[in-house]
Amino acid sequence: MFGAWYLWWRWTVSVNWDAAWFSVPLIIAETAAFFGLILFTINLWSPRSPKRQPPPAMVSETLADAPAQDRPLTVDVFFATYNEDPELVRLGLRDARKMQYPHPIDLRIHVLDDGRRPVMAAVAAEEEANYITRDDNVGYKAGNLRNAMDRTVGDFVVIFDADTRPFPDFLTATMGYFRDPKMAWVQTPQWFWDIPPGTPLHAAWGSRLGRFGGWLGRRVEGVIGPVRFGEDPFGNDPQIFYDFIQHRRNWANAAFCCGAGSVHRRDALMEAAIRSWTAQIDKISDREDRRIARMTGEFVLAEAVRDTARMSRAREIDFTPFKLHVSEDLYTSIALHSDRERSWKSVMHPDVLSRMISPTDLLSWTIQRFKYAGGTLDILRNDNPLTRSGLTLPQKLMYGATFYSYLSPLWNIVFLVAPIVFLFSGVAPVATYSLDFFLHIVPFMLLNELSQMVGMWGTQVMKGRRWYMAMFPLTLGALWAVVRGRRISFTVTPKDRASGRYLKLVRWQLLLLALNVTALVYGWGLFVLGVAGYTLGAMIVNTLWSLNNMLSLAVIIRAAIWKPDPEFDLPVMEAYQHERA
Amino acid sequence: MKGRNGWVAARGQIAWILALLVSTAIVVQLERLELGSRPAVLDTNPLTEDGPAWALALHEARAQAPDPSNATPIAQASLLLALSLAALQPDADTEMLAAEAAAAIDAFGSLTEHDPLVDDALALTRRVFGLSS
Repeated sequence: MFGAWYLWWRWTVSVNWDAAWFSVPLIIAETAAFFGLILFTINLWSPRSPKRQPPPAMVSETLADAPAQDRPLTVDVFFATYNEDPELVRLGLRDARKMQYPHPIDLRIHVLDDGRRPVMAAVAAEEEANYITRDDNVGYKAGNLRNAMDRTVGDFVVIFDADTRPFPDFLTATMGYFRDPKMAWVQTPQWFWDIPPGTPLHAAWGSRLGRFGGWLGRRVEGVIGPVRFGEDPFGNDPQIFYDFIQHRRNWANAAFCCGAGSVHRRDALMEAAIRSWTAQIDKISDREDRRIARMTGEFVLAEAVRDTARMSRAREIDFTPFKLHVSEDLYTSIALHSDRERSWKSVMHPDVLSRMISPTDLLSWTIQRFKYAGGTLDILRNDNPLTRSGLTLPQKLMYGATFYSYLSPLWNIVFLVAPIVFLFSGVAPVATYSLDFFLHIVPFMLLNELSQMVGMWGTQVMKGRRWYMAMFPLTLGALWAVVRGRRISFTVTPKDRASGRYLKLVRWQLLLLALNVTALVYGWGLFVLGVAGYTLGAMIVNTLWSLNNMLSLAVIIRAAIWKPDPEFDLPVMEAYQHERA
Repeated sequence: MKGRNGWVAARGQIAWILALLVSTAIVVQLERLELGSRPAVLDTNPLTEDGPAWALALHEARAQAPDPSNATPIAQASLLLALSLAALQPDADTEMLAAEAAAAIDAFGSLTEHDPLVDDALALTRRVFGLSS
């Protein structure tokens, strides 16, 4: 309400129409960001989730109609790999074999190797896992999964990535949800266990300032809590995403699949795939029928002609349980949620049940995030779920929030540039930086911050927000690629750390940082000289704004030049290699 | 999430909230100081349509007599009458007005050329402020 009040005041009273070139883009950006905030708030509104149930013993307990002959559950566990270290996959296979279940269960572990590597096949054989490969790499990971689905028959399918290490209770904790016969998949949080923990403040200061530095660091930490330099340098901790964004979509039945760490009902995947396949055939055939009718004047085609045409379309269109797309997980989720006839459900399980490896250099991080952004925006462009029939209004709002967040660079760039423009030009985007301005904006910002702090208590919200701002060139690049119709390619996120500095990847952030520093010096210089336009209120607002922007830009610049601390970071990052040895 | 861990995670937001509050307090204080530097009788802007007539009259009289000793007799009389009128208002800062009136009486009373209009205004002002002749 306070946000709406502020925006109303901005639009009706405080726009500086004398500088419309500046003030109008800013007010549009503020409005766009506020709309995103509303979607985000709706997303976080309720933690209501389906109740956990005891794991089912027999297949009949997971179906609406009892089968003619009951039997224990059959579960296929897929480890999708392409070029990852086979020894890394081995660790996951061993952990998968240790998965427990309170009832007899037919557990089948498969390695899906798109790299066609004999060494991977050997590791699979040594770990008593089935090895599945194919002659091509069509559809990348989605194609790999489709190939495995063709060759397996389990009632349920567990999807792991090459680096996933499941916990023993993975199945016990997740299978209970499938007592609901409409439950299509369960997603579990992805936890990166190799995130660099950083150097404690007292150790960092101690190494620079000696014993006094160590003592001072301990005193400071005693007051404000533990401080770690270089902790999670790539902002990989996915806590906000899984614990809040995804988990709080359960009430709307809109938690989407994130690839690894998920359990799927095979029937749901196959049924949705059949429906999607036939719908595509119908759509294309209907279009062809109309074209033929226009060309020939024959409005009623012979049944045989129609059937022949449809058969040829059926041969041409891929049948696939997972959409052949760079964001196959999100796309498949939308397809299943859209199936109103079956009303498939999904759930985000709240507890961590597996561990994975995170991208630990900026290049890998950039590849992964570009894939996410480009894939999501590509779905928005080519198969907009908001106009798709089948999704409920809450589901559309939740998916809308995801897609909308990837449009954020359009307004974030305005927020990043605005204080620079003021400090260089003295032109204010608001009619006045008076007390009236503060009285309108401060209650909104204060209440928004407090509500986010309470709503996401226990997470580093500020850190997430800084990365959201800092990655604007990457998201903007993905948006531009999708707008131009460029295909977003599937590049496997590297699992090995690449060393080096990646300043080229952060050149836009560096430029903006330099402009902010220069603008602050220039602006305060003109203020001291008493140049018109540089009022104290305006200087305070824009200085704070600029400093906040610089802090946001700094996180990714620091990541570009980050090196792991040999004492505190490397042991954690390389733990899996020690375990392997 | 244990209480302490929650607070540790929220440090960034708490710092941001504090920065917001402190900067707002600075701006509010600056605005208040600016308001405080004005004469009390002009707290209500006399130049606005909803300002009281007496405040407008005093403002105009001061503007017409920037150097009261060298002002015209009419301007001198206007200033004295405006000060008297302002002093009769219930919320007037009488101390400040009395000081200004005493200074004006001293200045005008010591002039060699006397004007009957100014003399009458001086007498009235002395009565209003209780000053002896």
